[in-house]
Amino acid sequence: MKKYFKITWILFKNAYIRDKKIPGQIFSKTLFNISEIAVTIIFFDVIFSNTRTLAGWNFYQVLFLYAFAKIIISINNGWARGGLNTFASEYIRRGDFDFYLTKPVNPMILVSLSKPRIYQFIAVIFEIGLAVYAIVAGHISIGLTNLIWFLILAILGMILYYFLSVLTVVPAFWFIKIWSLQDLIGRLSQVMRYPAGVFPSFIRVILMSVFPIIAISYLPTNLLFNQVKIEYIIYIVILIIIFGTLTNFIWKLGQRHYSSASS
Amino acid sequence: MLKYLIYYKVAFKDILAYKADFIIYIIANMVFFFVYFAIWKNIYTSTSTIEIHNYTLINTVTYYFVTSFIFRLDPTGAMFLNETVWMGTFTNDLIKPWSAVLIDISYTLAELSVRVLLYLPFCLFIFIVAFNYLSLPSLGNLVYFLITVILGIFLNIAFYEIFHALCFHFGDQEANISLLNYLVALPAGGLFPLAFLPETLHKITNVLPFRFLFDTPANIYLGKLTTSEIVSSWGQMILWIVLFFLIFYFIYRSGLKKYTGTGR
Repeated sequence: MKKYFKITWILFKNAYIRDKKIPGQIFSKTLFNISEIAVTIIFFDVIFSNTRTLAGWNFYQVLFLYAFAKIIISINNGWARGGLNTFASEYIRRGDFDFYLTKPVNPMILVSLSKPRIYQFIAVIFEIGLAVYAIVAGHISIGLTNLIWFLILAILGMILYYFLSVLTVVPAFWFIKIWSLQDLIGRLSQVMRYPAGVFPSFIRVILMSVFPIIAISYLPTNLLFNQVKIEYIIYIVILIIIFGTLTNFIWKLGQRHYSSASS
Repeated sequence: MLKYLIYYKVAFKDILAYKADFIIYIIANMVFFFVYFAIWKNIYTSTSTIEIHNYTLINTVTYYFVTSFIFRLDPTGAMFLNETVWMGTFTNDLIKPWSAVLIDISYTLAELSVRVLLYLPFCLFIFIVAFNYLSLPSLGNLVYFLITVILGIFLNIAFYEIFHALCFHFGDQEANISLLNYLVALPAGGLFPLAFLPETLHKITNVLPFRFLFDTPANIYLGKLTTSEIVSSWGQMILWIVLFFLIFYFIYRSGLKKYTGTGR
């Protein structure tokens, strides 16, 4: 475990040195993240000018849900997405995966950590601010027990989101070059920002179990606003065990298929 | 002209070689349509609303269906002038007996053609799934819609080429182009009909040319614009295209003098 922290520290330091050289780009990318928040707030404003609640959730609850989903996405983007994107588009095709395969660490984790994007963490600050604003402005009262369980589920949700991110890029082992896999999780994450009740029941079941992306944001937030339900906690833990095992299994299967041929 | 047509054909075949990429990309982007469909259906049914700013539920869902098609024709992901200039590979196009700009545009058009071609089966899928919530246009409106969409492609290309050409002067513009592309989607009507915006914002979007990219064609499809309004829109679009191309040309010509071809 200690060596992973050390590797993370070194890679983050490298990323910082790299990003320092391109302040203009970092500024644009941070501005992009902030603009996305602004545009979404305008969209929510349009939605809630026509309805008081969305699937039983008011404006501030939906705003909090959105901010929370964005925090999970941004942390994952800062930590793992750069590496996973490059894996999907380059590492396999160019044979660069050899480098990660030959190190005495888990290649999946090393690939994920290989290209951190520190500027994504700047967005997290704004997103936390938005979440706090939603709670304060919406006069949402939260119990201490709810908060503690919410934080635990948030961490578990982040782990689950990471597994789903890996699952979306793992086909690169077989297809060699598929750039569209890079942003697949980003597109699918759109559903995380809305209450689960918005979706038809059939889709909801799929998004809660087959590809449980709405469970990541909806269950912790629901638990924060309502009564603590032990079934939610057990459900998330079960999902992590299943998807963690599945991700590891498919990744190893892919590794066996990898032939190191560069082109 | 023939050489550009040949380049277009070659590019088309080249892009088509990576079909899986486009198909995954399209499937992933279909998520947007179904998310918006679910949200607006929920709003209309939960409040028993028949119309929001003159849009019925069918109008709104059809609007998203049409914009999901127009998004496939967004050229920003299919323009490479910035990248080639930044990497230095632009030299390869510059030294050949053709216009490097027209070659770039030919490639963009080829990629858009592939995207539309591969999107058609998914269009059909959406149509089958959401059949009860979609409306079909009259033949006249369909023709007007297609003309507007084609003009919209050139308006988009002309606008973004300006920022691509800035690469000659200020280096890589990729981050700025992505930011701009995201910001433009709102006043263009890519996220929801512009009529849904608060009045002040709606007035601002009416002054900008971006509404011609999504809102205008979608409303033509829905039969919400009269023939004279459509013709007036075309006139304005052509004026904007000329203006943007002139600005681009000026930046491009001055940029060529600075171009060293060394790449990064």
